[in-house]
Amino acid sequence: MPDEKTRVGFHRDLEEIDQKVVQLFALVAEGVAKATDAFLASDREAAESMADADAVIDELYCEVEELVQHQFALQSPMARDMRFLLSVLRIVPELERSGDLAEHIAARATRGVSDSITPRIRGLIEQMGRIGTQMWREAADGYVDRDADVATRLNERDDELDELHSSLTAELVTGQLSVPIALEMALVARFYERLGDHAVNIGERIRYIAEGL
Amino acid sequence: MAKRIDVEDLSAWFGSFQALADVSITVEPKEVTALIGPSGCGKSTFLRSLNRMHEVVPGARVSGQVLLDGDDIYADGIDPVAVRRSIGMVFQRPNPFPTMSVRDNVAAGLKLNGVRKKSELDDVVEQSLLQAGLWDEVSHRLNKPGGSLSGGQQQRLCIARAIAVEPEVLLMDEPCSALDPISTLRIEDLIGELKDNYTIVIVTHNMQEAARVSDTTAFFNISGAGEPGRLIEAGPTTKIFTKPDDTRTEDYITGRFG
Repeated sequence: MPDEKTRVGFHRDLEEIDQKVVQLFALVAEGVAKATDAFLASDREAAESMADADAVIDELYCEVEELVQHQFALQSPMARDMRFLLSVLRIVPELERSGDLAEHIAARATRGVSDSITPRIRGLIEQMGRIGTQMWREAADGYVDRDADVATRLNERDDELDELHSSLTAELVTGQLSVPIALEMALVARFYERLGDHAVNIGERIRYIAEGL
Repeated sequence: MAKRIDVEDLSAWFGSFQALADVSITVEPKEVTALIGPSGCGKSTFLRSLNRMHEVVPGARVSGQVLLDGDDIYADGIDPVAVRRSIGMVFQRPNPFPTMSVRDNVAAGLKLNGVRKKSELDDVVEQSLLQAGLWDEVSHRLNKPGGSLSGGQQQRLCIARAIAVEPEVLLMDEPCSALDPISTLRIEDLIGELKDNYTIVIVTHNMQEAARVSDTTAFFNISGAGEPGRLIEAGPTTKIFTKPDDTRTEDYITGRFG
């Protein structure tokens, strides 16, 4: 085969898409960490800044989708390029939705929900926030490294998150909180649980990019 | 009708230059096998070795085995003309006999084989043109010269001519590269229909075409100038274009040569 680079523009476009997806990962992973901090500290300012970050996520999501559409329309991507582009199309909605979930958690800060919860519930939320953040950072690293094994690790971490979700739900039904606060906390718990699920889905897509399986 | 081809350790030379080295592959009957690879990788040489067309070039020779349903086409006493009758070929540029009528173009091979009866020839002409998807367009002008047809029609005429002698295998050397996009799609559809009855091997430089028409794809490559072409990888077309095993295959089909 000739020793020369071909399809340079196409591969540059793929790199641009990749960089935007990495940026989305960073925004979501940091969003999960910030959302937990804002919620537990009832930090209204931090919660409001999360809404701005979510607007950036939404914009990037649309840009990436459009760029991927162009590649399919114009470049007939194949093999690893096709796997990458197909996976990006599946990954970015998970990122966008996860950005929303982080924003929803932070939004509870403006309602002062965390001021009315028990120390045990606070502890459970801290743990869920920590594991959720770790999972998202791991997913981001796994994406950058095209690490097929990240899917397995994220699955294991998600089991921990699910257990915490069950513990928190059990705690809520003991009736120690008022009904409105308990309802809000059930939602917050559900948001963390979904954040874990989205990270797991992304892990599967990373495996597909890396191995085609 | 369709037969299986087992190729074992096939190498090919033009004089002292080795063009192809140690190719082993099985071509399944009633399937389309596409051969892809950069220029000079030996894929056309390989194709021409499958019906002993390679040896018509002075100084050209092959080693290894090509078994058609178990019978070695290079065995002593085998008539190369008989091999080419059962393994037909369609070339890059449509090459009908330009002044010969459409009917006579299709019947040419049969006449060479000694068929003289008009009704029999007419039946075969009609059936071959029907199979080639050309009957409706030429049935009213069978006596017009083959050269009066459009490029796409001429290529289908050549396919009709090739299948008129009832071969077991059809070899196609870039059959669409000289055609417009619509004629190309018609030939590709035709290839899909013909595989019900024939074993088809197609060389193409168009990877999308290989992806569209073939069941199996074989990637040939050359490691440098003066080196022989080699088979790098063969497998189901969906696999080759989604997740090939060899990085050289992936680099080629994704356009990363450097």
